[in-house]
This record gives sequence, C-alpha cells and structure tokens, in this order.
Amino acid sequence: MGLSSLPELLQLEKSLEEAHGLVSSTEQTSLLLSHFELISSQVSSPSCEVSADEIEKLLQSDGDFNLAQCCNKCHQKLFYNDECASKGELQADLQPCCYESVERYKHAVSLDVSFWWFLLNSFPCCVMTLPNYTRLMLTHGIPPALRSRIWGLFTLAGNAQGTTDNYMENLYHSLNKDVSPDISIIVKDVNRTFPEISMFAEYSTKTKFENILNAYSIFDSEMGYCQGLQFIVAPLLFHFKDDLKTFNALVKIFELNKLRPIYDHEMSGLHLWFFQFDKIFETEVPELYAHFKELNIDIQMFLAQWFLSFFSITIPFSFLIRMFDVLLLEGVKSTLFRVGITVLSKNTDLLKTIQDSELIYQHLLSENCWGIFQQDVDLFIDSVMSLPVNHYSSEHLSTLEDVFSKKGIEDPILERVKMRLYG
Amino acid sequence: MSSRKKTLLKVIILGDSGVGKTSLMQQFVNGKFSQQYKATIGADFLMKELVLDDKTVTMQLWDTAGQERFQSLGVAFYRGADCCVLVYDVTNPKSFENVSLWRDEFLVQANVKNPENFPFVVIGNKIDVDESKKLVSLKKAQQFCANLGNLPLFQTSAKEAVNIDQAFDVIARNALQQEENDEFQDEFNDAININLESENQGCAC
Ligand SMILES: Nc1nc2c(ncn2[C@@H]2O[C@H](COP(=O)(O)OP(=O)(O)OP(=O)(O)O)[C@@H](O)[C@H]2O)c(=O)[nH]1
Ligand SMILES: [Mg+2]
Repeated sequence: MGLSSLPELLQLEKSLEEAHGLVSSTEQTSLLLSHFELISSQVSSPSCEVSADEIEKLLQSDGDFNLAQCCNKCHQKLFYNDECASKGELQADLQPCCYESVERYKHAVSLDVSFWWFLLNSFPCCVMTLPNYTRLMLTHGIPPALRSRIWGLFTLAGNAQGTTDNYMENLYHSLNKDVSPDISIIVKDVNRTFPEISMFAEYSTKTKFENILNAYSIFDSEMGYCQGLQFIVAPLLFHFKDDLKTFNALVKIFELNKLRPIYDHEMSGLHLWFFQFDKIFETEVPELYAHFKELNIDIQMFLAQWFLSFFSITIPFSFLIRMFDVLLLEGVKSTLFRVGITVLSKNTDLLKTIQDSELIYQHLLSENCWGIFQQDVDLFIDSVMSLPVNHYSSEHLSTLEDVFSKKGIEDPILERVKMRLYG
Repeated sequence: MSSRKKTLLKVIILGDSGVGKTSLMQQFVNGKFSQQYKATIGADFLMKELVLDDKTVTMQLWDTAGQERFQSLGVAFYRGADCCVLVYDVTNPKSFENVSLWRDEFLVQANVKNPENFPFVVIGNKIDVDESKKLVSLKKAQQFCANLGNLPLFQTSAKEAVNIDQAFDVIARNALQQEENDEFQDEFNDAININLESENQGCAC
C-alpha cells in the first residue's frame, strides 16, 4: 500500500532532473546526498511502518497551523492568535487568496501522501531514488503534522513512530540529576527565548527547555553552556514537544555537523567559518563585497550573531522552521552559509546605497534585513534552495580550509585559533 | 573647532550576561521595556541622536554579549570608543565583582591612550526589585567607584525607566569631552606628523 504512485514519482523525478540539467551544470542534489550519506552511515535499524492512511489523516488534521500565520499572497493574518490557530479558527475577514494558504497543508494531494509515506518508511531508499523530488518537497516545506517525525528521522532522534532508544533515555535522566554551573544563565535565557510564542511562555515548556540545556552542558562539560544553543533547541522542542527527543536530536546534530568547535571556549571553529564565508561572499556577491571593503566593514560583526544563533536573533519564526527543514536534511553549515549569502545578495541594492558602515551593521543585525522578503517564507526558501550548491559542498569548504590553515598569521586571535585547530 | 562637522560618539556597554545591558539601551533609545529581548549573541548596535546644550550629536551604542567566551571573538570594535559603560545587577553580587574585570579587559582591548583619564560610567541596574533582593549596597558601589578615580555611578531600572536619561546624559557628555580631547590630540599629532614629514622630505637620505 502507498507506493502505487511510485512510477509517477519516478517520472516526476526524471523530469526534474532533466529540467535542472537544462539550466545549470551543477548537481543541485549533491548537498542532500552527501549529508544523507553521513546520516545513513549511522542508521542501524530500519524505520517502522507508518501507513499511508495514517499520514493522510495527519495531513488533514487541524492544529499546528501557527506557522502558516499569514497568507502567502496578501500577507493577511490567517488566525487571530496562536490559540485560534491551534483550534483551527480562521479570521473572519479572509480574502479568497488566503484560503489557498489555509488549504495548502490541509488537503495534501495523494501524490504528496505517497511521497511522505515513502520518506517515512524507508528514507534511505526515498532520498536515493528521488533526490530532486525530495528537494522540491523540502522547498515547499514539510507539512507541520509530519514535521516532528521527519525531523526525528533525520536527526536520528527517533524512528518513524517517534520513539527514542533506552540508552539515551537513561543518559538524559542521569545527566539531569546534576545541576550545571551555568544554570542561572540557562534559566535567564529560557525566559527570553521566543517568549512571544505561547508554547514557550508555558511553565511546562520552560522546565523541559531548562532540562535540555542543563543536560547538554553537563553531557559536554568541557564545552559547557554556550549562548546560542537555546536557539537551536527552540525550534526542535517546538515540534518534538518532548524534551528527551529534543536532547537526543541536539546531540546528533552536533555530532553530524561537527558544531562543537564553533561553540567551545575559544570559538576556534567560528574563525574558520568566517574565513570560508568571506571567500564565498567575495565570489557570489562581488559588488556588495567590494562596497563592504570600501567601507571597511568587518563581516564578523554580524556573522557571529547569524551563525551562533542560527539567525534566530532576528529571523521570523516561520522562516526559522523552514530553514530547519533544509538544514536537517542538507547540513547545518552549508545551509547557514546559503542563508547568509541569500540575505546579503537580496539586500545588495539597498546596502549599496548606504555609505555609513554603522547603518550597514544596524541593518544586518536587526529584523530589517528580512524586510526584503516581505514575510513571504516561500520566497525566502526558494531563494536559498536555488543558489548553486557547488560553493557549499564539503569539498569546496575543505579547499578553503587548506588556504586558511596555510595563511600567514598576522593576527594574535587567529594565531591562538590555529594553535587550537591545527596544533 | 567646526561645529558643523557631524559629531559621532561611540559608546560601548559591558557587563555580565543578564544584568540588563540590552534593556537599558532599548529603554534609552526606544523608550520601552520588554521581557522579550533575546540574549545578545556577539554584539548588537543601536544609534540615537541627541542634543547636548546646542550641539547635535549621534550616539553609536555598541551592546555586547555578556558571556565570557564571546570575548574570544575579538573586540576590534572597542577601538575608538569615547566612553565605556560598566553595568552590574544590584541583585547579583558576582556581576558587581566582575565590573573591575570588565574595565581591565576594556582597557587592554581598546588600546586607549590615557587609561587614567578614560571616561567610564558605572550603572547598577534593576533597582525596582524588592529591598530584600538587593544584594549590592549603594554604599559599597560608591566606595568602589571612588577608588577607581571617582567614576560616575547611577542606580537605574530599565524596567521602570528610572534614572536612564540622567545616566545617558552623563555618558554622552563624558563621551563628547573625550571626543574633543581626542580630536585635539589628533590635530596636535597631525601637526607633528606634518612637521616630521616635511623634515623627512627635506632629508637627503
Ligand atoms: N526587574 C528588572 N529586570 C530587568 C531590568 N533590566 C533587565 N531586566 C531583566 O533581566 C533579564 C536580562 O536582561 P537583558 O537586557 O537581556 O540583559 P543583557 O545584559 O543584555 O544580557 P546579555 O545579552 O546576555 O549579555 C531580562 O529578563 C530582563 O527582562 C530591570 O531594570 N529590572
Ligand atoms: Mg543583551
């Protein structure tokens, strides 16, 4: 059951591949496939079966609409507040165009159901056979009702049914018998992480949130709690709801994406990221790069905020969730880089008219840098996903790393960083 | 000195995480308090224009992240600061103890010309809390500021907008004073450099 539409999916896959071949020579699926290789090398058990019927039901169920708050066309708010959204109570004065956005997740066409069924039941096979189609579906966004299961699969935090393993459960509970030395700052941060979203204002969510960060800072006590982590946890907890599963996912995301060096005490890895990003920025958005050089702009000023918080300091929450769809399947670093390049390139015309470096910092460090997308999350994700991926591949990044490691040391901070990274 | 030239005052705000740096700046710049300001990651930046006596000045306020490891990101933007604000939380004695560490760190990183004369302003924030929660006494703070060369001290509440304008008025004035001293110093140095250059040109070697 469920795979009756497989031939049709394969046909679509083939047309997508041909279409890509016509417009560019780069293999757009390469990030997906290489990150997927990493993930699948760690999967031992095959995922359990979820029936297509169940998926259809999930896709049609109400609730979890808080993310599709606005109409894609007229930007009208669809729900008065989160609570109405969770009950599915629509605003009274919706325009005809808004209903499309409402319907979008509600009535998944049967082909979509088949695809998600395939992905949930044998994601290795699905990604391998339908890489272009998988990317297309990612670009459209994972349906909210399925998100927690799919994120669970791709972070190895649970199987298709959403269950986690015993070892992690025991670990998590034993870690939380201790209290992190950073607990007071953890509590403060939990209180100021998306408090405008009703779920994060709830006492029970806050307790889970604190436990996750507490456990992680003891799990890796040498790294400890680093501010920025709360913003990785927030979207995961928002969909998983369960703290153990979120903790599990956090551990796996760090491992798979080698995030530790950017958050450790020296933040040594971050300097390498800055260097690599600078080179990519120079080739991808040369006009703006030249303008920044002229004004002596230090890109680290905003890149530190962007990378360490996964853009969360300023990004709209709905954008953040959709960015997570991509970064969990295509890799954290390559996705954060692509989002950074997208923000810079989309703002190029505006930034080029600004001659004051302070005003440029202010623009890029504030919500203003997202204004260009006019709340249109599809436009945002489309722009990110349509960047040619070759500059973000692990091969290209390691070529840049070679340049970085051989670069002459002219700066005492970099000197320390390199000692740490390369001995 | 020409008054038509745009006067930019660069101010850096330092202090432990959670003492209320972002809230203070927001209260000063936008006149509001919100529980919703996120933790600062790296650094943030705000500007405010203000009139001091007859002079219009633009304040560039650099808000920094309080967690210690962010120092390793490099603090190039400390350079050229005209005033540094050191914030502690009156409910948190540790944050008060760290004020002098923040000051030292600033002096090292900012590479200021006359460390003894550089303007610092100290702020004890969150005075709106219950008396019983105030763990850093005003007296202790006054003593501390006196010892560091009579640094101006303000007890503020970003939440209830207490003493914010007073504190930032002094911050701005001290920054302006510093700016003008620096400018004078620079002109003086330029004059010397010009002399040296012309001398060099005259030299046959
Ligand atoms: N009662 C009270 N609470 C305050 C006051 N100012 C800030 N807070 C609270 O203290 C917490 C931290 O405030 P922030 O302004 O984010 O602190 P910060 O110094 O910028 O912290 P970092 O960005 O992590 O360095 C928040 O929960 C604020 O709501 C105040 O004057 N009174
Ligand atoms: Mg702050």
